[in-house]
Amino acid sequence: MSNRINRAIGICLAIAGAVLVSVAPARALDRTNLSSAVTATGFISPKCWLSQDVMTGTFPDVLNAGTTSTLTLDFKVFCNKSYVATVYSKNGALKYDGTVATGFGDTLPYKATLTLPGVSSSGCSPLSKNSGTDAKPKSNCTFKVTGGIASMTSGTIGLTVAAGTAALMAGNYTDTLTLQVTPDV
Amino acid sequence: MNKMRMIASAAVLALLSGSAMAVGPDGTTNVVWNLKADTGVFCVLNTASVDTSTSSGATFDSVGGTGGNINITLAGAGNTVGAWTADIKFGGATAGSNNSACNSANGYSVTAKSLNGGLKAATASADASYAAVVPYTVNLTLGTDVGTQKTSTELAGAGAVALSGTKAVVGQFEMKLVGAADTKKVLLPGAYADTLTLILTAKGI
Repeated sequence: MSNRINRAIGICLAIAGAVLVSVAPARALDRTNLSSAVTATGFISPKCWLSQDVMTGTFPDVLNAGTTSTLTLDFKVFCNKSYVATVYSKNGALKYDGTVATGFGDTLPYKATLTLPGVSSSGCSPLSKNSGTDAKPKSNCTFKVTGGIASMTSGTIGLTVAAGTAALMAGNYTDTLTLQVTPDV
Repeated sequence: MNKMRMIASAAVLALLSGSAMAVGPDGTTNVVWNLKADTGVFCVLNTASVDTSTSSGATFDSVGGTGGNINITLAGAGNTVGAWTADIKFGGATAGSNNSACNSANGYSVTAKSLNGGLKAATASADASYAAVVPYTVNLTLGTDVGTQKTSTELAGAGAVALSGTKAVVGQFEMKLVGAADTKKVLLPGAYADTLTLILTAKGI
């Protein structure tokens, strides 16, 4: 990764150098002292990249009131400076995908634990919805990350469904989970 | 000497990008997972709350979700068949309150089977004035669903569906067995016994 950055910086310098030479102002030629000082400034803007192995996650256990289940999601992150990582739920819980009969629970809240270098997370329980905007999300699972910068880092999100108390409808309970990373400006 | 300030972000992206993730102008990016949890199809009796207080002429021994013993005082006046009621309620009376449940949106059924078609005497007699088998009725309810009354005679052998519903239901499950008095039938010496089996089945989805 550092070689790539070095090559990038080299490209910046080369571009800057080429432009400088082409626009050098006209002046009387001093044949006794020929030198040219080139100053180039390259600016790498803050950027983050994320990748995930899978786009779906199914809790491995059949759930009903009184049972628990755990699911781990893997991802890789690269940010070229410190950043903020936010995990949030679309529904604030797993939600039944049909019509709930009277007396049955329609949601299953779950806890999320984000694991990244330098992140001390005891778990966000239950994981909340996005209380911010799409551009600047905010939830009860927002962390400043200063570790693992400028290197591809592996991370996980551990999800745990706790034993509920209400009877659950037979079928599927679903949700959409988002991990967003925003580099510091 | 002029300083040239170059924004080289485009060049950097070309060198470093691997995953095709959209990146916002501030360098923000995200990934999304679709989550799913499957819940099983089930019927369950809430055995933490068992109420037999409306019974008469019957006592209970170890009654729970897998069964138990009902001890019936069968003898009435003149050692004829006396009346009795065994009324067992599992779970609370209101939805969401410590209840029994069948959770399939397609409903459920409860089949009842009587081993002997009634309380059967241990001894036999050819005299019709003696009660060889004492019948009883079975009434089942789950929440707001009320079953059709069945007799132990109807429930002999393969049994019959005594209660069914067309949707998921949660509430109190009640099994009420009633033996009517019959002063024309004299009880034989020894025990009268039967085994009543209830099979609760949530329909698949």
